[in-house]
Amino acid sequence: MINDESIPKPVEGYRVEEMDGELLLYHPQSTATVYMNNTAALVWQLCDGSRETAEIVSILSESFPDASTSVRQDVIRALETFTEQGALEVSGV
Amino acid sequence: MGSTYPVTRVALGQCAVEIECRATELADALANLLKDTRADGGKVQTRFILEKTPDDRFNVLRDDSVCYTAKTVGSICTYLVGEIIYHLIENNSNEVLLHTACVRRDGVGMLLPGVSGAGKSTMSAWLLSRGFEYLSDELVCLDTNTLEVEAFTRPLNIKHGGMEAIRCEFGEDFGKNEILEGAISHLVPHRLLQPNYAGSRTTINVIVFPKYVSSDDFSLERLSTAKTALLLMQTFVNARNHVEHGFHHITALARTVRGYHMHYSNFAQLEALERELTKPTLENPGFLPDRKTVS
Repeated sequence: MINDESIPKPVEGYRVEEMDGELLLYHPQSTATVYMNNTAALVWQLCDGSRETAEIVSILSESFPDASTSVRQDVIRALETFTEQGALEVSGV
Repeated sequence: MGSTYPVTRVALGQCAVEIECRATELADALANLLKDTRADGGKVQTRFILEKTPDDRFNVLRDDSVCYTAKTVGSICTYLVGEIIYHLIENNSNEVLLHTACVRRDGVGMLLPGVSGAGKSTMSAWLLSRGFEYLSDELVCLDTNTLEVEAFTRPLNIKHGGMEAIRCEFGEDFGKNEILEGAISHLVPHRLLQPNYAGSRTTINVIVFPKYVSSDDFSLERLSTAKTALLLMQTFVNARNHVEHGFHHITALARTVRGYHMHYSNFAQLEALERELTKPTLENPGFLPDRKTVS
């Protein structure tokens, strides 16, 4: 379960292609392909292995003040999806 | 001393398959079915022998072993076409092979990728009746330098249930003497569908991922570049032969085309696809959208 203190980190080995703001990730070993829409791509790009979830939420809330009430929920949902797809590892859980 | 039997050569990209035919009935049928596949070029890595047995059955041999036996020419040809495709895919580690149908109009091509049952063959046949050239209902080879494709011009493979629709479009007597009937499908020679066949190499402007659904629902959704690439990865049949599974080749192709996802349940609904593709806009004045500029 992901909480505010969770620190998401991209799993090594993913090749990332940016396409019109969306992302496509491919892992040659696992042959997994992960699609991320524009919103998910923003979350992914903030997952550097040092930021906690709360910091990611804070950055995005400041950038998108009109959507600040739903940002936390959207970020956690995106992180859970990436983790389920094997693209993220989460520490500090 | 070489064989005295006729040998049919089938090439796609840099790979080729040879078939030595020791039964006249099969030689004639194969010549008709594979008239438009490329015979020259490519390295031969698999060789089949076809023979007739004393009890009037036919055998397919590979590496001196019988790998298939059947009573009818149609069944043998259906099996053989499938095996040819398998070996062309299995032995190719230099080029990108995509499981997709391919049609062309006014010199620009459209891919229709999909799993078996998605409707690639019947949709290709319908598009043919609307003025498109039929190139393949199964496989194309992508030139990763030019992003052009070479379509594998095998015979159109129509499941028995689909022949009714074909005859509705082309007439009851269409291909009466040329179409072969196999155990589960009919093989319609490529040349029968495309009498003025002028080569299978084409640029690709549009990719439509069709899905046949039994309800009446129809939908045509424009896909983003990333979603197009995601779906294309699922059709990349020799990915395992490539470094990093050729991911960059697929994304390069996706960046140059327009992708659509389509649900359809009958041919009449495909008129909407044709309208979408032929809709003139400021940026796309032609029949099909202009190829996107690679950024």
